[in-house]
Amino acid sequence: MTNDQIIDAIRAHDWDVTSQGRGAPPSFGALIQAQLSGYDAESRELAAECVADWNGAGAGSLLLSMTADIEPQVAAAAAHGLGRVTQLPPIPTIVAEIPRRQEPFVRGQLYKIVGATRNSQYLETLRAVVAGENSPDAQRDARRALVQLGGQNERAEFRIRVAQAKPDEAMDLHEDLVAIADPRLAKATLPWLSNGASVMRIGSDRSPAMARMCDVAVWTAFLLKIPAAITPAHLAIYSPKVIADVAAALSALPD
Amino acid sequence: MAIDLQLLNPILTPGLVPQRVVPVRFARSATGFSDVEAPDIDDHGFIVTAHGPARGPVVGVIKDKTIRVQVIRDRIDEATQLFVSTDDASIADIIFPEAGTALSPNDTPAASDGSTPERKADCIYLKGTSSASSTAEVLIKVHFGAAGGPVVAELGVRAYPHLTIRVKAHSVSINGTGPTTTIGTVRQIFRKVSDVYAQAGITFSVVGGMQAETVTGFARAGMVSLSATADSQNVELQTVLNQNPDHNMLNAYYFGHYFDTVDTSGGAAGTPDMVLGIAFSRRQATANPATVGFPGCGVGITMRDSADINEAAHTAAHEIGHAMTLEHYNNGNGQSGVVGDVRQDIWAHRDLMHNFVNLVNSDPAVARYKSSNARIDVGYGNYADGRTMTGQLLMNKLRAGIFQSDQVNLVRRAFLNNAYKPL
Amino acid sequence: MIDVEVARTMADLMGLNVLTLATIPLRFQIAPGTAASLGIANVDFAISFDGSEIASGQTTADGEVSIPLLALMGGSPAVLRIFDTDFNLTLHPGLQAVSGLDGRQRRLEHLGYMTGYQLVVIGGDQPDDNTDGPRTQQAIMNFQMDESLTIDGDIGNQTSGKIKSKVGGV
Repeated sequence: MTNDQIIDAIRAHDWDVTSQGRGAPPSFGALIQAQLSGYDAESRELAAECVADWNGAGAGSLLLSMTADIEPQVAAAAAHGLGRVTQLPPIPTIVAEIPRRQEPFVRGQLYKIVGATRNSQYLETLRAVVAGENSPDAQRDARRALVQLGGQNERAEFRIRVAQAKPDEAMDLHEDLVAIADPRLAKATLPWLSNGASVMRIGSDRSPAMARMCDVAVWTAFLLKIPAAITPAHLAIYSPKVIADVAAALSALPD
Repeated sequence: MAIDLQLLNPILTPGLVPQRVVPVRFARSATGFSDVEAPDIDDHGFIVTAHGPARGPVVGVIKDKTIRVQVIRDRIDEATQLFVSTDDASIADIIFPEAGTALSPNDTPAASDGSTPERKADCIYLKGTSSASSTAEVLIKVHFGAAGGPVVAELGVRAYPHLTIRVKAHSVSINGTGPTTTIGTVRQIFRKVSDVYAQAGITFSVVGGMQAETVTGFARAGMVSLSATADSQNVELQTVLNQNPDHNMLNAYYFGHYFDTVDTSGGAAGTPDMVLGIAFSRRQATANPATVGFPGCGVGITMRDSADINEAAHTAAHEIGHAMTLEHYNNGNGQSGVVGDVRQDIWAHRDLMHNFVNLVNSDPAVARYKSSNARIDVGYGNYADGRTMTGQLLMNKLRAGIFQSDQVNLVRRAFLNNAYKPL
Repeated sequence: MIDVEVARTMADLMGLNVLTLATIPLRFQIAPGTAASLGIANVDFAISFDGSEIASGQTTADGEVSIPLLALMGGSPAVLRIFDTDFNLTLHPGLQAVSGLDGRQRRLEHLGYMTGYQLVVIGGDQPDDNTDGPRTQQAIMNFQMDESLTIDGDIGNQTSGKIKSKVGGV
């Protein structure tokens, strides 16, 4: 497709066009930016997907600006896209934009993008922004990011939070642990291994198969490659032996 | 008409605290299937919660849409003048009654020249006016006697930016036998699903026609067989879910029916009505990666044919809840239904994510309905076969210690996180 | 309680004693329960008995009205007029054990959790008064929710203890 055809397909809400962005020329980003004010919300969302697929020079900056869209659906698509591009805008620029974003989910995504750099030079700057964060959901994402950036206080608090987790926090914390990717932090899930509270369905409406907190702890250990004989290789209701093996492996980890 | 009130004698019962009387309540202003203009209200408890200041129910409204909520004169005369105000008209504004005009205990007819519509008795008509790109909350107050009179009740209103889920419908032919569900039916279904999810600020848009899929080698023509393995590991079900999903949409797969070889509590194995739909979120798919000989857990909803549009829509709405990471609202931990589950009561029956298992008609006078799985009427009407339809409320007040108590927030967050989109 | 000044004797009209009459407090609130700041304050009320007004005033900051107990001990009900509404006031026979239906309904009513309207319908328009029906279930669950108790719609040990302590009395 030519650039003009892509522009028109976006305006016509043709979602098959997203893959076309991949081969688009360097001028694509500027072309899309010029169209945004004339696009409706669905077209702007589709445009964000196309820019992320294009992944050309300037895609990151354009997507960061699109995270300020008044429509949360567009802003979220831009935030997701920003997480996929190869070249991010300068991290301090991203951090500076976070407090200006109304939608807590978008702020959360930006925290995660900064955290994924794992670059400790951004720790203090991000801490200053997180201090003013009032959304519980975005705070969670911010905490993950600060741990990823090497914040020792935040790491200690996170360990406690994991150790004291309630069942409905388990899956969120599981995702955080996998994203942080530090096996030593998984040791904080030791209390989960003796908790049989239901967390997430693995059955269906008519078969009450629910993964338990202990199962989520085992699954987390599996994904973090903590040495233990874990079968099956997917989230399941694990046997007492598997749970015991994981407990032993976690206990052997350094703090 | 006078209201009878019995008081306890403090001399006979020393140490009593003063008796409380609450003159005014709120309620859903419609019966039957979800009505986008008359949403259900989350009236679980009265304390102030983390998501807002209302010491009363909470209701959601989409930006630029108008809803109505009924005021119940629970212990106050029907002639008593009640007035309504909003704490912030830039978040939600009162459309009716007009400022300075009392609520009418009688229906207000439409104007003969058509300039104003009919208004139902004792209803507050609210419009979402917030232009913010995130959820905003405001208090609506009911006053006694005058527009600025004493406040007798509070309602929390959450104004949501509108979110749209695009839907891709798939028609799955299994061993040469396809579903009877057509794209026209699918569009009807999702119009009704939009009515359910309007309370969370979400609507659905079916994109394009029915995409034809063909699978062979299943155990039974036209059917997805369900075995003892968890459905996230069920090969036939996962094969269906992995048929050409559109990665930007909610994928809805339709086929004849399920054949459940395991659960015979509601009938012999394979009884067609036993399973109506099965769904998975991206979170579940991530936990079940593809392995040799197994396609990996897909994301989306699967549904069997249904001749009853309300049953199909209600089931789709329920399954979409699962695709958006919601679990069953039973026992506070998502446990699927168990006979004797004490949470199968009014809230569970009013909530969209309650448990369908073993719900049969039974005489609640004989078996205590709350633990008997009796299908009680909570005002949502009946299916075509006469069974009462259970509720479609999504909870909206965050309460510590209650599993997934803020379902609306979870669903909106899951939406923005692409929880319903394939990996 | 309300205080009424009464002359001691005819011979000593300058000296007055105060006779304290028992009253029953009644609070009008925007929501049930015993949390602070729920009262509907500064609302005019009048209490009459046998057609004659015996007390009047405005609700307190807590939304409270004091009902003279004597007015409730006659043959006909006392009438409280408030919110342009007449309330016929009578005495309840007495608080039953919380384990029984009457005991739990009475206590939930006392705290404002029992609503007067039918929440749901079972088998047609049957009221669920005097049964452990939807109104009672919902009232228990709302109480449990507000008091951060396990929400099971049942009055087990935990809820029983809490509801008794919240209501007071026996």
